[in-house]
Amino acid sequence: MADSDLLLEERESGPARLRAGFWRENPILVQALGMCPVLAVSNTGINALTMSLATGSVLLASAIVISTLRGIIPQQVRLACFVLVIATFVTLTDMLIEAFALELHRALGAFLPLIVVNCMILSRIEIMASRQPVSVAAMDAVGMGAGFMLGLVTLGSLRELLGRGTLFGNQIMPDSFEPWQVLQLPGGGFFTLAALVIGYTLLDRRLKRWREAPA
Amino acid sequence: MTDDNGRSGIGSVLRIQGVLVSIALVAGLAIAAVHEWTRPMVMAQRGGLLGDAALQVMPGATTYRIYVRGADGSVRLMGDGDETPELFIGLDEQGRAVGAAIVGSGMGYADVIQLVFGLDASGERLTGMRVVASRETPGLGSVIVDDHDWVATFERIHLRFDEDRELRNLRVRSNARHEDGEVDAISGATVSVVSVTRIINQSLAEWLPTLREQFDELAGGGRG
Repeated sequence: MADSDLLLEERESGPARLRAGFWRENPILVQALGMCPVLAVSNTGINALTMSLATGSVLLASAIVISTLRGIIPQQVRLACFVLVIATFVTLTDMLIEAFALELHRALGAFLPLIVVNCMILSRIEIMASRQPVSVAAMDAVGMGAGFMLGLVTLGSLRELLGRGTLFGNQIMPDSFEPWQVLQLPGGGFFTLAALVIGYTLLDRRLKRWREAPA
Repeated sequence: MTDDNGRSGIGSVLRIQGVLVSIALVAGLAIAAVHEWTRPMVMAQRGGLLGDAALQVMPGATTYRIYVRGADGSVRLMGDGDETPELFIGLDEQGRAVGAAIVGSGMGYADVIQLVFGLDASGERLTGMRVVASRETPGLGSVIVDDHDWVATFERIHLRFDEDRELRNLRVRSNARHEDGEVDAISGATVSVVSVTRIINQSLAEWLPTLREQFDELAGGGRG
């Protein structure tokens, strides 16, 4: 699709996309996308951080490449092309993490290759990167990646703090604290996510009211 | 993105295929290049992990000699050109051989499982097992790494031999009798547990005859 075709579909503003992905359209807390890795690897802060960095970099790289190629990708095979590009970047990320951080690679296990089917990435590519210029697509990817990281790292830190008494591996809670081990189990991921979404909604409402209040 | 240039039929199909093949070609080249670049680093780290795991499965060992099998089937010390260690002979502080650790790999549920398991100096009892690389399903097959109680049972498993001193395969069973060459089954991880057992059986079949014949020699003549 050439840039002139954007008359049909409005060109979005990059900075607006950046903010939207981080808060208003947060992929985890609002859109509830990519829940499988979110619940599976959010048991510790460091796992959550690495997973969101890996997902974010795959999203950014794929968005740039697909936005650049959007003029030559045929409509009929666009999904095949998207998945091909995403899978390539996932494989590259997987190999790089294995080479430079083997322990993390072992902790993330099968979820790293599964970034290929993360619906957040595919949805951003389909909605943004395949229709918008590179700059907007890249800003959108950075915003969504940051939003994904915000949700995932908050979730991971909470589960680690309450489920193990540590934060990024450092002992935080006093020795008398009895860890809530249920939070380390998959079920605990659902509970923590629910609490986080409630917290997000309350905070978002309060922020809106505060913004709308007369000065 | 649409092919609206008036081309239809064969031209359109060729263009679609051309784009797909070009993207796939570039993707394949990029993956091959990064794979070549990172492979030595990955293998070096895996080698370090294997060495650490080997010490854990050979109680009493403080150091080891590393062997590989050459193309002609003979066993020789690992050299610079060899990528993966295949056999560790564990030595204690006095340099006496305390046992061996064998590296094995094979297909698991999701991907290749690589593991190392220890064998005592008499070659009749396992002394431990560690999975070094695997991609089993988190929460299910991953117990072969995470379930420390199950992993610890490998320190107690005795090998079984028939009347002719031929090795009989380890079997997977619930309520396993470890002294009778049995491995505990885990519900939800059947394929992973069977894979681990199969890998150990294959590696034992490959290495036990060699160890029986050449253990003293491989240990440098200092059997403890």
